[in-house]
Amino acid sequence: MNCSHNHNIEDSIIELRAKVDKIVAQIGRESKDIIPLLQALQSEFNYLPYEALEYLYTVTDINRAQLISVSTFYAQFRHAPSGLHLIKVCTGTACHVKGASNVYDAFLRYLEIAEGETTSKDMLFSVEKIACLGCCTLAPVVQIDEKTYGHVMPGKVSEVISDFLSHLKDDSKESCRRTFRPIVGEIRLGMGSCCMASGSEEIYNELQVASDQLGIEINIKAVGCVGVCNKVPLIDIVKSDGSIIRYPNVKAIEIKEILLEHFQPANLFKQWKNKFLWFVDNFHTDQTWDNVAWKSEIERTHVINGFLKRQKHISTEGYGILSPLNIDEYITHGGFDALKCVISGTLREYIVDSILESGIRGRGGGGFPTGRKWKIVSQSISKDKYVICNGDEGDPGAFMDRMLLESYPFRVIEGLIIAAYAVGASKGIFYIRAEYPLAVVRIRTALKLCMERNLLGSNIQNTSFSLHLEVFEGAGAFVCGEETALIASIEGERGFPRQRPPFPALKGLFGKPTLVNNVETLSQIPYILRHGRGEYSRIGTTSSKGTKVFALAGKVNYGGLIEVPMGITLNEIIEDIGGGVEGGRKLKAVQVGGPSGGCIPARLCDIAVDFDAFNRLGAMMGSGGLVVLDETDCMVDVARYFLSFTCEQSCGKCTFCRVGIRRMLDILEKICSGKGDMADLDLLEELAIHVKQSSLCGLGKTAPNPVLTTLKYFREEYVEHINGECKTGTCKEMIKFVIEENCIGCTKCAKACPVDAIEYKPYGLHHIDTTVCVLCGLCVNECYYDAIKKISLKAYANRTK
Amino acid sequence: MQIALNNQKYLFNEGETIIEVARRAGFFVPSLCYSKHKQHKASCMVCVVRDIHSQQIIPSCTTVCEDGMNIEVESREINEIRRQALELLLSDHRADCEAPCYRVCPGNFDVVRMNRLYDCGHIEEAINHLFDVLVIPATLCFICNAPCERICRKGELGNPVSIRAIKKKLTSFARPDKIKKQQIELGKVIVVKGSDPAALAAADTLIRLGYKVIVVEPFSELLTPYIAESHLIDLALLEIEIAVLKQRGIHFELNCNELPISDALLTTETIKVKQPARMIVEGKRLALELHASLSGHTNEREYHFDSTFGKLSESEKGHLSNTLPTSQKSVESSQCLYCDCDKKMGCTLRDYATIYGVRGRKFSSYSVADALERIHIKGEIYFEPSKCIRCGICVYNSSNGFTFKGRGFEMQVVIPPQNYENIQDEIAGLCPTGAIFVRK
Repeated sequence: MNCSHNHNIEDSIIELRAKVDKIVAQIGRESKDIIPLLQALQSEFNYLPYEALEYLYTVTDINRAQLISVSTFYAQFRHAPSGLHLIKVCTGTACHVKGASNVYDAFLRYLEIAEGETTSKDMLFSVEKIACLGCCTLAPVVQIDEKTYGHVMPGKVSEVISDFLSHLKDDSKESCRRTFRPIVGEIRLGMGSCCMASGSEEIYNELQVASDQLGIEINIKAVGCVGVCNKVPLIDIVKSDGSIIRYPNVKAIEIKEILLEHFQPANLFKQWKNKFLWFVDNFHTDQTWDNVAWKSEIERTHVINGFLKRQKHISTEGYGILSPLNIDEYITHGGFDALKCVISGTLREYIVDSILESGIRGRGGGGFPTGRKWKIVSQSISKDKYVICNGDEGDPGAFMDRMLLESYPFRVIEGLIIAAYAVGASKGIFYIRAEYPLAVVRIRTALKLCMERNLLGSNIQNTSFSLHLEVFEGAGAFVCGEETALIASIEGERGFPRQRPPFPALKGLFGKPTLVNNVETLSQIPYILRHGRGEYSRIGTTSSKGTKVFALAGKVNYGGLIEVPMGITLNEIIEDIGGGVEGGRKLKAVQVGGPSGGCIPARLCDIAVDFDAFNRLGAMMGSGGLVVLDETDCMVDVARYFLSFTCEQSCGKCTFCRVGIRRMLDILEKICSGKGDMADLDLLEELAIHVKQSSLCGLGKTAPNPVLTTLKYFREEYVEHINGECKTGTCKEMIKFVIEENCIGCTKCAKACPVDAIEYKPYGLHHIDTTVCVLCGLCVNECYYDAIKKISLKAYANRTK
Repeated sequence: MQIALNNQKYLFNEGETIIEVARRAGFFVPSLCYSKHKQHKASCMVCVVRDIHSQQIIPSCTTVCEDGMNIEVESREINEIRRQALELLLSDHRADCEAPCYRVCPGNFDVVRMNRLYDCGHIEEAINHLFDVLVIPATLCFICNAPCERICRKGELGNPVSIRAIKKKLTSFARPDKIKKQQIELGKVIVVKGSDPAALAAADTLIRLGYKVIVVEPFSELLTPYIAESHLIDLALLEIEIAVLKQRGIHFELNCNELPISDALLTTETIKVKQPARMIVEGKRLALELHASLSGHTNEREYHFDSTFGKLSESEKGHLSNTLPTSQKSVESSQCLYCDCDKKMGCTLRDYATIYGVRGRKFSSYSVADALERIHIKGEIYFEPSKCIRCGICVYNSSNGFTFKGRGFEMQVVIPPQNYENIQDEIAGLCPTGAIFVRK
């Protein structure tokens, strides 16, 4: 026997148990605490080790059955260790239409991960698909640990990995700044997730370094998401006279020049030295020719101005000015005015009536009148009531809630406090999905700041009103966006929706009356109360009031996060704000509302943004993803994509959703592989109608919408597939890649091919071995002569004859 | 407080659900995941009804009645939805109601039942079952082309169960002298012309019904052309089989061309089928028809839905060849996989499928669970995951016992071995399918 070996094992078990004990002591030992407990265990151990779970049974109320049930329901939890670094490949809608599945395959190939596995042999990397990272405008997007990479094409995979590894080595910490001299101006820089993914952090650091070096004393201010995701990193120079000069798409290398353009360095010597060094630095390069600083004002900003012109900022008020976590600044801009006003003696009924009369409807998807919900909760009699902010935004292709939580945390908090006051709740929860780490951190910090200012906690602003808010991290289940499933998950159960009635407003969290409102809804509340219900209801259409935040993405020139008044048409959004379809191609459809929404064909895109108008078309506002599709997108594939998402996200409780969606997907897969027949189309439609009608919750009731709308507006494409042709060449099983006669033998395609399907033949006509080809399309991108074509199986058969 | 069900008003008590009121009012409302007084959550959706006000389709098992509700409990459309729910559940129900060998047997013989009795040592019962259904089992099955052995799932793993050899063995154990003579209760005499399998089956059926039966054969031997044509017939066993028939009271008249006086004559000339085992079935049919015309009784064969899952997948094959219980590895046992369902007679899912006219498979049948995987829980309780419809009634009514794993279509009901002890027998009664059963 090896005694020391045994001792080591015993020691490590004792150590592990001590860690578990510590976590349990911090979080709690009741069965309702299971999700936070597992999250803490996972962040401690990287996965849920068997020994830790066995020990957990003995020190908490959690039993084996509950643990299996909960830990396997939420996608966040792992029962086996993952690689040291986690590569998350976003498969959101925008990323999907831009080829995310090829990117995923490329990572697997590059890291030599075997089929069916997700972790590289050296345990350095694990690769996983993730529903949406919320950086749709940078599609395809990949996140490695905390670092996000945008526009990752399959060919760029090796570059991304080596960049990540190189950054690991020089992980520099933010340096502290000291102020000696009077401040001459301010620079504002957007620091939302998208901005960070585009290198804003680098710009931020460079601004600090450069201004120190130059001796320019400026205030560098990280503001929230600027929405113009396609133009980030974007900096605003605010001069001492208050004028603003805007620079989009800046690069770190341009920072010094921009600073020198607008500010005087500290002394003449430094000025001279800097100019000289700058000159020497760039003497032999041409990198400054394309410099933003050289472009005219109009050239720099006309796109942005167009992008912003049609927008109206309510949820995003203070856009580009407010620093997310600066509470004083928020207060100077009228923040918490609404709250202070209402709690200093406004009748609760009056607030509820104001919300009711403003006409605001829930932004989470269904469009239920917010005021009606408030009224029910406020009228129900109970000692304990809860308010919940629903930030479990899970739609692939939507990220407005993330942006609001990250950039305007105080506004959302203010909305929630007002809601709590109006309905008489004393406890509240921010439910934020764990995939949004920045949002979680910002809300936590913001809550702490509010506590310090007595805007939260006991006896708020010396009134009798008390409210305690905490953050609950969602563990990765789309269905938890449904309010009853969300409540179930807070209670430590699987996210199974419950039947309504009883509505949560009467019987919600722990059986108490509970108000669940979406992030965006709450962010509109302070505006309504500050400006009056009349002013708010003047914006929008008869049945849909106020503004709506959309994530505009897909095949549009300028994607981003936009807030528009209800009533604007889809065409106006695409043309005026988005700058038209990418590459001048023809608009085919707009996918509205993600997996619960539908595809609105181009000919109907003069429709106004309105809850009911969307519903009439079979689509849905959903949570507000707008994915623009052009003539190169296959609508059958789009339907299949959304259905595969809902199929994966279905909770599994009721038959129609659990099995029905799977069978619909089976039929669609059959059609997409060219094996379908016309009878399948009828069966698909019949099933879709029944699933829509008879599923228990919103997820199942809306999941067939992408199928039903595409069947309604693009039936001919389904028929084409049945006849063996996918005209856009999207459905992989129906196409082959071939090299045409005009190949000059440059060998670029052979070098690019990751699976060696193309033989290297300098100056000869190249040939693709279609039995090996994985249809990744890298060769197509490489070919300068446009000699590689996607052709249908039929055409391929004729060719080989 | 009142609620309207199909436009009829009914009173209800506070807190009652629609299904309770509707069933009390005499409506047939199917449900799988619900059992009165038990914990449950709406899952199966076969109990759906329509709320006329909201036009919503809702599960009646969890919807609490509200005053003034107007509910459509039965209609063509509601039945359609219920049928589709059943079709969807069955598409993920990777299981057989009846074993393939039974399904293909032209003589409708339940092979698995014989094998079970044989394996448990209930030899006499096995022999009775054999003679009851096949009349001349050993002889018949060797003039039959034995589709049972060809379809046997065991064949996919190697060799099929030697069904015919078992029949032969059992027949050799038969003790004609122990057979009780049938009472002639009806007093009527029936003459059966010929002695082909159909005629023998008809004679056997009629004698069991209480008629006096005389079989008249023009040749000197029974089963004349068959014996001459087949080398596989074991004449010693045939002798036993005939002895059994004689013992029951059937008179055989060989070399007889004159029909004796009788109340009725049964001839098998009308039967067109040539398949010997099928002839047994046809012979019984003729006998029953004759009985019906003589007595006024009618016999209607009932249709029963039959779930079937086709061939074994590769993972199922691997799983099955590794998990055959050791007792089954001895030469003496039948080596049968027992493909049929232990609960085929008490399965709610099957009954509803029959009632709502589900036929065949409408959808592809890709499923997560492996067929024929049986987990022994404790005592006589078994769990067969591939039959589970994920209704969760076992989860909600066991404490730290069954639980869900995963979500969506991949969601399964599982039970970790540590929890086996926490399971009570009554759970098997709650399970609407054969997934959890008590083996008898």
